[in-house]
Amino acid sequence: MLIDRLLFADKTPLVLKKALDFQSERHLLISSNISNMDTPGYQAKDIDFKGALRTALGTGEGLAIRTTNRHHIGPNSEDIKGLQAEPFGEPDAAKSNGNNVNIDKEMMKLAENQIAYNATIQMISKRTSTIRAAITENAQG
Amino acid sequence: MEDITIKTQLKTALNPGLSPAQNQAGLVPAGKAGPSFAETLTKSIEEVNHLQKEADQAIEKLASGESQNIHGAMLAVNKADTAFRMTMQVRNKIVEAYQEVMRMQV
Repeated sequence: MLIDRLLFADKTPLVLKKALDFQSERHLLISSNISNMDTPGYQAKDIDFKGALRTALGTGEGLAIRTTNRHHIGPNSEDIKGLQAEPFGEPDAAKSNGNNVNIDKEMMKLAENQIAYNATIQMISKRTSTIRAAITENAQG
Repeated sequence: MEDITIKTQLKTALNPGLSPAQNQAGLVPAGKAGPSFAETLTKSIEEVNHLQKEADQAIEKLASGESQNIHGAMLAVNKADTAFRMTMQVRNKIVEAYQEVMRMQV
């Protein structure tokens, strides 16, 4: 669609969208960790989406793939669209009932994730408002 | 005769040490023209584009956890947005002025 080409023309909006997806998924994981803080045998889970995003953007550790020719295979928008991050179990020591949820750590992660989510939302809306201003030729748009 | 209009007084207040006579002499020297209008326009559009690219880079760095600088990214995005709106309004005014001239009865 035309509007998709307008709003998702380059990789930054895709990165923002993917970051929002991951942050809301992380929020669910952290909430479920907190709800299960007394469940025997429960293992706390988390996802590392930042590492996945860095790899997709080609800015991760090690040798980065760069596309200097259009025949090259490298990071492109399809990579970012199909990005997946698998939840992993947290390596904290378990309590006597086999549960390893650290409530203080989870609360801290919840607050951090909330701030990151709000920041991402603000940036995506600021970017969109710039595009809307261009469409309406109106500075208030 | 001494010029005592508000305009002149404002001018002296804004540029202290510049009397109207000095102001005349301080104009761009003849024969040494500055950049053309088209050049100025192209340059400012390129600057806006550059600012937007910088903002995008800051956003990507923040989203991928490469930097923790939320306020830096916010500032970059706001700067790019304001610069873009400013340039757009200047362009709108130019088009408006052109249309005004075109509507003029000769």
